[in-house]
Amino acid sequence: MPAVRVTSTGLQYTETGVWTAINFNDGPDETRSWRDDVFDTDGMHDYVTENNKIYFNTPGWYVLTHGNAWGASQAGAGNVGYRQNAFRLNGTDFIAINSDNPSCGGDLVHWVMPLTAQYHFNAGDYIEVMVRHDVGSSYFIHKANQNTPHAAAAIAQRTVSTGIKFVSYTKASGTSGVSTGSFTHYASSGDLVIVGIGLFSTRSSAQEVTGVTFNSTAMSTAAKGGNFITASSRRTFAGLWYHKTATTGAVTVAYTLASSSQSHPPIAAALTYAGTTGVATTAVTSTGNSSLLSAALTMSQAKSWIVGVGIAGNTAVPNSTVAGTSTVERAETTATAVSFWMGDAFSNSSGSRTIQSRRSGGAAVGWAMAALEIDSSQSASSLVAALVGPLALMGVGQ
Amino acid sequence: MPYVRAYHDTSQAVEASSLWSALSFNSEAFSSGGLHSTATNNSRITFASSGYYIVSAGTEWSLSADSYRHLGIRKNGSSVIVASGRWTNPTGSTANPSLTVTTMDLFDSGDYVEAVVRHEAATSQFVLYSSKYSPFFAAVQAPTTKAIRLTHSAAQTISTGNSYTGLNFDTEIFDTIGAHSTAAATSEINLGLSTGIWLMGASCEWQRAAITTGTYMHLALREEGFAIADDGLFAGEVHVGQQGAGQNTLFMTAQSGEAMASTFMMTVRARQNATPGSTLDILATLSYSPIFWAVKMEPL
Repeated sequence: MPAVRVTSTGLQYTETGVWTAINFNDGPDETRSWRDDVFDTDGMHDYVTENNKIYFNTPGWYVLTHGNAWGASQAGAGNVGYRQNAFRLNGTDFIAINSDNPSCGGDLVHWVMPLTAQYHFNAGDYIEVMVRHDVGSSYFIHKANQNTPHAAAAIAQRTVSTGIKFVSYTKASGTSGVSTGSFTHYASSGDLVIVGIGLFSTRSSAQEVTGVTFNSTAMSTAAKGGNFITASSRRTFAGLWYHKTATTGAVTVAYTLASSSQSHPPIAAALTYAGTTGVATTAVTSTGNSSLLSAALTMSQAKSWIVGVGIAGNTAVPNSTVAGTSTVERAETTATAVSFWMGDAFSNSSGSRTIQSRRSGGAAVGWAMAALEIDSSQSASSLVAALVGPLALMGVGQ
Repeated sequence: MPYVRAYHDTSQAVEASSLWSALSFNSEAFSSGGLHSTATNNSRITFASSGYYIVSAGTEWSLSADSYRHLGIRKNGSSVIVASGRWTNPTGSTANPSLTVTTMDLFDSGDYVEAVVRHEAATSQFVLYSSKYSPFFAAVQAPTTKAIRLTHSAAQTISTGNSYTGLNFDTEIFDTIGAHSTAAATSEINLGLSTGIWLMGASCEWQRAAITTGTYMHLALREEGFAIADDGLFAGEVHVGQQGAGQNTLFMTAQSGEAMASTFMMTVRARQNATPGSTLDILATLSYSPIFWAVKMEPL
C-alpha cells in the first residue's frame, strides 16, 4: 500500500516573507528499528535528493498530514506577524493552507500548527510542505520528537489511468453556394466519432445543417444552434453530431444544409474517441458577439469529457487560444473570414464545466458554439474507480 | 469507493454569531460515487452507502483584528464531529487566518456532513475563495473497516506545567479491533493489535483560561514515549479583547499517519501552562471533545 512518513533531523531556518519548502532528511536508522516513524512503501521520498518532495508513483486518492512547530527562542519574535504552512502541488498550486497569528505575548512557546488535506494525485505528481513567516529576520522550524516537522501521505483509494482517449481528427472546408458537402474520415470499430460543423453567411437565408450521415447512416444530433447579428446581417451556426461506429476503415461523412445561398463555405471536422460508451444526454448551444467563444455544460458524471465546436464570422483571426483548465484544441482553421475551432477537455467531476476558445486580437464578432458530454466507459462507482490521465493523442489523420 | 473534493468559486459572507453556519460548495475538483451535488443541498456530502469515511475541510478567512475563527465538520445538521480554531491578530498581521481539519466517523446510508464555520467579529467576515485551497470539502470512504473512535463522558482536568497528561476515554463510539478498554487503562489504544499503517487523529475543546498573562495549550498524539503529531494554541492578554460572548474556548486537532508496531500504545495527551496552580479542563462534548480516531490503511 503506498504510504510515506518523513521527518527531519534538525532545525531549519527560513527567510522572512518567503515561502520555503521544508527538507525532510531523516533516513533509516537501525537504532530505531523497534519503531517505524519514518517509512516509505512506494518509493515516494528520497531523504537525500530533493528531500523536500513527496512523489506519488501510484495514482489515487491520498490523505495528507503535516505538523510543525516554529522556534521559540527568539525573544519577541513569537509575538508578531503570521506563521503559515501549506501543501503545494507540483511546485505551483497550494491545495491546503494553515495560517495563524501567534501573539504569544513574548512567552517562549513553540507555535504548533497541524495541516491536513485529501487530494487525488496522478503518477508523477509531487507535493512539498511550504512554510512562511514575517518575523523580519531568519526564523526556524523546530525539531522535536517525531512530530515537528513531519509529513505523511497514505493512499485511501487507488485509481487507474484508463478511460476516454482522443484518437484522431479530420477537418474539411466545403464550398459556398451549394447545399451539401462531404469529407473522408478514418475510424475503428467501437470508436465514437463526433462531427462539428460551422456556418457563416451574410445573406438573408437562415443557415442550418439539416442532417449528417456516416457512411450513409444518419448521425445523431447532439446540439445545434445559430446566431443572427441584426446590425450586420451576419449569421453563424454551429452543431455537433455523433455516431459510434461498428466498422474499421475510411468512411464518408456527408452533410446537408437548409439553404444553398450561404455566402461563405461551411467548415467541418470529425474527432474520434476511444474508451467511451457514447454521448450523454447533456448538450448545449451558445451564441455571442465577442472574441471569446464559450459554452457551459452541466456534466452528468465524473471522468467524462466535454467536446465543443465554435464558429466566428467576419474575422481572419484564428480562434487558436484555448481557455479553461485542460482544454485542448483538436481542429482549427481560418478561411475566407471564418474562424472555426473544435476541441475538448477532460472533466474529473460532475457539475458545471465551461469550454472556451479565444481569438487574440480582432474586433468582437458574432459567433455560435455547441458542446456535448462524452460518457466514460469507466463506472464511477466501481470498486477500483477509474480516472483518465492527461489527455492523450494517439494519432492524427487528415 | 466514493470520494469527492468540492470547493466554492466565490467568497462567502459569514454573519457574526455563536452559531455554526454551513458553507456552500458549488463546484467539484474531483468526484466519484455521487457524494455531492453542486446544485442541490450543495453544502452537504451525503453518503449513499454506510461505512467509515475520512472527511476533511479547509478555509481561508478574511482578516480582522478581533474575534476567533472556527471551522468544524457537522454530521446530519446537529452534531459537530471535529472543530479547530484560530485567533485573529490585533497586532497587525497581514496573513488571513486559515484552518484545516480532518476526522473519521461511521456513517449510515443517507447521513450527511457539512463544513461549518463561525466567528464573532464586529462585522461580517468572509470565507475567501482561493484557487484550489479555500474553501475545500473532501471525503473518501476508508479502505478498511478496522476503525476506532473514542470519547469521554466527563471533563478532564489538566494541571498547569510542562508535563503532558494522558486523556482517558470511557466511551467507544466504535472499536472494531478491540484496541481499547473502557474498564482499565482507558487512555491507551493498542493499534498494534493490527500492525501496519494507520491514519489517526485527535480533537478537543479547552475550557476558557482566566487570562491575566498568557497560557499555551497543547494536544498531542503519542506513540509510546514519542509525540508524533500535535496542535497548540495560546490564550493571552492580547486575546482578551477578541474573546466573544460565549465561544471563546479553544478547539484543537492533531492527525498523522503512522506504522504501528505490535505492543506499542497510542495515547492522546494534553498540557497547559496557566498561572501556577491553575487547572484547565478538556471539555466533554461527546461528539468532538475529546475524540481519538484511527483507521487502518491496508493494502488495496
